[in-house]
Amino acid sequence: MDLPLTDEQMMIRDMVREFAHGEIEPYAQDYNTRGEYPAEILKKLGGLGLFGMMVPEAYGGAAAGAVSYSLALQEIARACASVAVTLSVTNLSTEPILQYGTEEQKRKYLVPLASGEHVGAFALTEPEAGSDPSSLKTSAVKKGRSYVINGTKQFITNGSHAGVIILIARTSADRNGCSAFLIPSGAKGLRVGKEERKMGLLASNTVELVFEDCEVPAANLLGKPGMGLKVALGALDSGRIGIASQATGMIGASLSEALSYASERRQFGKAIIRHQSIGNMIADIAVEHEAARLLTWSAAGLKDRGVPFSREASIAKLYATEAANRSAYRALQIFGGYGYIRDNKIERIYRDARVTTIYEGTSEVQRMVIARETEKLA
Amino acid sequence: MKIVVLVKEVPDMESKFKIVGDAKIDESQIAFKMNDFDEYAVEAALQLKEKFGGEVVIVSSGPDRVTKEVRQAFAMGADWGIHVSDPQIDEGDNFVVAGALVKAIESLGGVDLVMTGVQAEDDQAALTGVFVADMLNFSHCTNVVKIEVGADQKSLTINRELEGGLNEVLEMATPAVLTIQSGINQPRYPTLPGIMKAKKKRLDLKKAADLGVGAIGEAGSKTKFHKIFFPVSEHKAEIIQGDAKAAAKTLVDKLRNEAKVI
Ligand SMILES: Cc1cc2nc3c(=O)[nH]c(=O)nc-3n(C[C@H](O)[C@H](O)[C@H](O)COP(=O)(O)OP(=O)(O)OC[C@H]3O[C@@H](n4cnc5c(N)ncnc54)[C@H](O)[C@@H]3O)c2cc1C
Ligand SMILES: Cc1cc2nc3c(=O)[nH]c(=O)nc-3n(C[C@H](O)[C@H](O)[C@H](O)COP(=O)(O)OP(=O)(O)OC[C@H]3O[C@@H](n4cnc5c(N)ncnc54)[C@H](O)[C@@H]3O)c2cc1C
Repeated sequence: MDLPLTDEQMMIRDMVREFAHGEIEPYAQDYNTRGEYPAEILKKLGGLGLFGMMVPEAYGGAAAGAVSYSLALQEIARACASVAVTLSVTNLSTEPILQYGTEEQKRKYLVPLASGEHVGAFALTEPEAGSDPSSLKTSAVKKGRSYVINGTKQFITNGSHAGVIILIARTSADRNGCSAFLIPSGAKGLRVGKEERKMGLLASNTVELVFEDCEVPAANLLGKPGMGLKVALGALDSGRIGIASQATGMIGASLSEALSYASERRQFGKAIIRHQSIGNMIADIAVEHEAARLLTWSAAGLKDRGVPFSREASIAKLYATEAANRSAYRALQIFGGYGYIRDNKIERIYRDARVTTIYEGTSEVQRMVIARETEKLA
Repeated sequence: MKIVVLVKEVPDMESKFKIVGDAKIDESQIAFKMNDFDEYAVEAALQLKEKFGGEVVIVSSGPDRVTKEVRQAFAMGADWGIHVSDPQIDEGDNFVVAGALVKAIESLGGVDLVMTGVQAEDDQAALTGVFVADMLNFSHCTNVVKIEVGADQKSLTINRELEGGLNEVLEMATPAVLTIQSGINQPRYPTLPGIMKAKKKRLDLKKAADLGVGAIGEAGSKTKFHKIFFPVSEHKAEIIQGDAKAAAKTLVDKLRNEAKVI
């Protein structure tokens, strides 16, 4: 299905498709097998301007917009979901700086991100605060002209590599007492804790960040005190378009893997795609791919038009990530025993897809958001 | 340096080709893209510009859709371009197209280098570059795999690829036409800022009449297509079994007496 895209959007999609085909796909399996962070690939992607796709020219970005961003991420996720999430979190971390940062903060933190110098990270989750970020405990205490931060952040994507971390910490005891901070890498008192051994996304970096009397200047406060959760939830709205795109790309990958295998593999005297139950699975993956593409495009389109998109982003994220899991299940089934073997791309997609219904808001949380926003429409 | 790169659109070779009539290909099912060899030429030109300054001008002839390929060259970093857009030129052969490209190049009032792919992926004629050189009365070199420009920006040392992996090194002077062989460089991916800027770059649209192109259409052409067809493949194969000596004898016998090719 052809979407009504602008020339630029098509050009960006085509360029990223070629890049993913030539520079990611051939190496993705190896990076994932080794569990290695694909620094080389990311350096190239940064150079092409894919780290700050929403960032205006004035800060070194291309201001390509959310639709272009979504298309680019889909192409990348088709080749490697780990590279896609690394990119998604980096783009996500530019948004709060763009929206709430002072001119000085933008110059200092946005420009290096947009120019691809380093990736970014977003640190909200804690051991005891996942779906419910308002219960977070990491504290930031004002001391003269600085803040002293103590606490532990859990599951932080890009945590070991980020040049800047958007941190949400508690500045007062009340429910709305959270604030956002810009933490430069190597800040004194910030330690990268254990790296998680994950089920999938093995070429992405997920770590614990430990803050022990980490002192940052008060100038690193992002937005006003008490705005932390607002900053976080705004970033997550955009992030959901990213994860919906990642998942949609993975459905595309499941589809093309399943389709080519089913057309070649013969059992009972014919290509297995000629057996109706396999044809049906291909059809279901194709339908879910189109639906996910449209929902994601629609949410990204709203964002580009500057109108509220929170509900649509959650709808796209919920649908695309659940569909990515169903599609990977079906595609793996089509591969029979070969799908269960490491080194088969579908085995990787199957594991990579699993987390998409969990991070940046679980499916249950998306339903809460959708119900709330839908109620508002009534 | 003022460098012109001639860019052609070609069918994506994964498209479905359907022949209509005797000598026409149905274009409605075809996806088009920039000729790979021209992409190397664009990259080579951009590298020279980065070293010596100047500008890179893209010239392309073809229907409306070729603006896509020209914009791609813009996104890679080319400065501006001329789109020669006239159905009467499109109907002509390589000679007509080369003539129109030459008029467009002449309208620039003096250039240092004209670069293009060694051939187009589709017709593989390898004619445009040399036609253009001849019509402009520029010296030329084909199959270029390395370009060095002297400090005077006028003397060129060129490596030219020959059969069997040999290279030939030539010295020549600008203005010149170079037809670029694949592998000379690694064409860059357009960056996002490059893509976003591409639309704002100047692209002049010229008809045959604007450029004063004389030879147009079939009348101006030197060649005429009589027939296009898919070669018949017979899917016939015979495997000769047994001892190598005896099998070779059987093979020679079959080639001589059955296939009558030796
Ligand atoms: C690979 C990976 C990368 C990540 N990257 C980041 C990152 O970069 N930055 C970051 O801050 N975090 C990150 N996270 C954390 C992620 O966002 C959280 O795991 C997620 O928000 C869920 O929190 P939790 O794991 O604590 O689960 P919990 O919140 O404990 O949820 C457990 C279960 O309870 C359900 N549940 C909870 N509350 C409700 C409710 N009210 N109604 C119904 N069901 C409910 C959930 O849906 C879930 O099924 C990452 C996680 C992973 C696995
Ligand atoms: C971990 C593991 C352990 C194993 N252990 C053993 C063992 O000890 N001994 C042994 O002999 N084998 C073993 N196997 C092989 C296993 O039994 C086969 O993988 C299984 O029978 C499927 O065969 P296949 O992988 O060749 O898939 P295929 O038969 O090629 O099937 C591919 C897909 O096509 C579908 N399909 C095929 N034909 C039809 C049809 N007519 N109509 C509809 N759909 C169809 C299948 O359901 C499947 O979805 C093992 C496999 C694994 C992964």
